[in-house]
Amino acid sequence: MAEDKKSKYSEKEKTAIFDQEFMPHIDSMYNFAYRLTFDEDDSKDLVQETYLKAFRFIESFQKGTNAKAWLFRILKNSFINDFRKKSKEPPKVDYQEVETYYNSDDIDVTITSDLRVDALSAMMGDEVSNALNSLDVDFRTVIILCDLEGFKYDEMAKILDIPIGTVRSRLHRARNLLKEKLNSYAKAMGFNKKV
Amino acid sequence: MAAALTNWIKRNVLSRYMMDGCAEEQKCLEILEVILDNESTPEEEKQYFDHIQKCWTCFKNYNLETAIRELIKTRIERKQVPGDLIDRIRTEINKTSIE
Repeated sequence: MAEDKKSKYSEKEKTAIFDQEFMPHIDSMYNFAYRLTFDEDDSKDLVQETYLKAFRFIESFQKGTNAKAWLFRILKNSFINDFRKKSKEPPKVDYQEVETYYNSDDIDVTITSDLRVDALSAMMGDEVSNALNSLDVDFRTVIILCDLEGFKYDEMAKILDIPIGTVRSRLHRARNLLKEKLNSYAKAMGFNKKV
Repeated sequence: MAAALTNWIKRNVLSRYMMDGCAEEQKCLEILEVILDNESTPEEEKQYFDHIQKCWTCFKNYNLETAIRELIKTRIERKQVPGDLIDRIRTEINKTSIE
């Protein structure tokens, strides 16, 4: 990835990289942080910490390469290594316990539901957000990276430090879980009858 | 209204001329996921779109999966970056640079 080779930058170049390549991603970074922490103050701290780390290690970044993926990787690592430990909310699932379940490269069977397009159209943003937010953080993360931020599989593999096959299988499972949640909302709204 | 009419036509008219039930449904769903993620090859896309012309099950899956992607992209509210965050970062960076 971008940080494999080190570059020597002048102070002026560092500032230029920071302003032109890092800062334009602050909106995506803040939204990613918010979807991980669900707290505005925590998100601000996490984004600030990420940008300070990015500046401190700017020589590990190759000018003109994928700054967004590089920043997302730092943010994700900061969240896991520092933030999650001191977070008010404990992780919902023991990571080690589920690791074997969803870190295999096999894509499991898709859960087919009676969810329908017209039920989806009637859903409000809150219901969709709640469905996404209710997923375990590792499943939530892959959906955010792929569907909201538009990262490719290889970029996600680098951000998350997992093989591409695992990215695909985790995404597949995350989407199945999301579909189940949406299906529950649809049923609660009375959209459960088959046509 | 137009969307509802289109859906009604698809459900009540088109479905009669397409096969229902797909022996390769899981495989088709996997390919569909790759297509919607823009990670597919042109061959995979051609094969898939040729298939859904004839397969009602996969045609329904295509519509559902497309709608779910659209829902995630359009209904999840994006948070505004708090105004003071950029200032806070710049202040900290300036402190680091001076040190």
